[in-house]
Amino acid sequence: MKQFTIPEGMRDMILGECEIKKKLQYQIESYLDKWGYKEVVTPTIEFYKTYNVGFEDIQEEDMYKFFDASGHILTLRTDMTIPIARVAATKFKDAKMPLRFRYCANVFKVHEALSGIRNEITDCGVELIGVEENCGDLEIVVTAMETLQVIKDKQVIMEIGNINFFQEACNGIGLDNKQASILADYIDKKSLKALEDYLEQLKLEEQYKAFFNKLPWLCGDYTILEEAKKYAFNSGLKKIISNLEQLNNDLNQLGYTNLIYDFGKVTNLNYYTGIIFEAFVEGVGTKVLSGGRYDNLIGKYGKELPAVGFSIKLDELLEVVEPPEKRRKCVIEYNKNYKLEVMKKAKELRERQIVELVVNNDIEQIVISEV
Amino acid sequence: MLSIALTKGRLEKASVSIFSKCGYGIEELQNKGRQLVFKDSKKDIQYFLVKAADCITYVEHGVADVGIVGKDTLMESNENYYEVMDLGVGKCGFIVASLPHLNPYKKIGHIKIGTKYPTVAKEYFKKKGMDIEIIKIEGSVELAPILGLCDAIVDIMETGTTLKENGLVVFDRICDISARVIVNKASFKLKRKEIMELLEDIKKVISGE
Repeated sequence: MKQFTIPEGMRDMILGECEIKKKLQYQIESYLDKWGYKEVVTPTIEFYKTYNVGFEDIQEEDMYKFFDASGHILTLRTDMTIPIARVAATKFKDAKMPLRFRYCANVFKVHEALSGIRNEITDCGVELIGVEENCGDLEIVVTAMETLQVIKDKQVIMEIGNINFFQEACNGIGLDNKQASILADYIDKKSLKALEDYLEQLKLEEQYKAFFNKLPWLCGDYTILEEAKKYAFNSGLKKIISNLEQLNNDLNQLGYTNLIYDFGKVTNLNYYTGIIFEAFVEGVGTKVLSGGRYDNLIGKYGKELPAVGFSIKLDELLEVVEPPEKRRKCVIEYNKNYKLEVMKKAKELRERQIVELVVNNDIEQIVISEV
Repeated sequence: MLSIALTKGRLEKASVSIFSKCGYGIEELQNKGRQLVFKDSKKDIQYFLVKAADCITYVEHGVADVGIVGKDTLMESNENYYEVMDLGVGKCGFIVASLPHLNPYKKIGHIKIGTKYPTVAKEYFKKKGMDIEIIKIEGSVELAPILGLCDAIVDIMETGTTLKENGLVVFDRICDISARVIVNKASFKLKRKEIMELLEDIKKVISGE
């Protein structure tokens, strides 16, 4: 017999999963909606060029690609920030700021085969466009933390960093882009041995070596901000720490205390330009929310606009949210001669519960049973 | 509770010895029967033994919080974990070797490299600016150049005895390899205290040696 299957990395969502996911999506969207975010839906397919402009160090093998009729390279979207940046810079270039966009969409990324990682996931998030650091950053982190209240009875941790801490240090010392990106890679993976070896190779001054060797370990609760000051060797670095302290104080005053900080968070150097943050939930082996500031991205599509945003990985949360309550349901079995009566009866019953119809010619008339 | 994935075989002994010196309750691991999961009798830790590549998979998915695995296996994998410590055990190196007259750096024309580690080989030759073809071989890699399947091999070398016995010479040493401690990214945030304690304990042992 011929067996039909699905492509690598894809998954069918069946049984109760859809219901749980829909409920979660609805809950998250109601939080975002109340902050004034308007939903946008962009095409599932974009030009490859659009992504290539957005991510300078794009991994082309990570993207699903194909051609349109005239030979342009198309791609399944790998995130929602790029399409929204494109929309903001083109269709809203003269609009009044700020812009608040939200989305819930499936995004696609090719992962290593047989690794158990899904190639199609649902991202649900927001982009706050036209608001500078400070107020914008505070608002977005508060929005993220408030939205994560959809998770009950599980430990939730928000980790905040700032990509500029690393960039400022590299600029201060005069490292070139290539050196910086190698360093960033080692620091981000907390790959200490490789980092140490590479710093030796760069022949930096002891003070700078100590700074970079310490970076992967500059993570923890707010006390790490104090610790980081010891290593901050110029005023730019000190300023970044004091901004984070301010953010920490603001968040504390608003009642958010489950915060940690990580100066060794240095992903996507070409994309993020300020704070970056990720949230983790007890029982989930990966981040469930990620976001950050990207003030240079929208400019690549034609209009310089500061922006900050985040997205929640809906699929990762399904295991840790409460399933929806069971709804009332009844089953009506009927003899086919009574189909009209049954349709009328079912309409009446559907007002307050789910009604399933089953044809059963072994029974004489109609049998209704509650399940 | 912390879950630790240990690599079976060569690194197993070294890892068990480290935990024993840490003063952890690893009697079950030392006297193992057929069981696969071992409970620590003193600490809130469970250990399990897996193959090297699986150790990474378990850690990446967060099923294990911490893993102990060789750098050779890490270099072949995608890197979605923190590699926080070099244990300095299980030392060896990646090398490029072949028969003395088959120096791949001097060959003009199509170069074929046999290896169990295609990612490592590809990255290395890319850095060297050499265009090569890789042929994946599962074992007894030394045979490949002798029988004429490829021009040279990329493989792990511990003592060099096997190479010598087969008449192969080392043309270049790619890098050193040793056992590493890897940590799941989410666990590192959520179980930070336990993980830092574990790392401190291990650090004391390895720096004492």
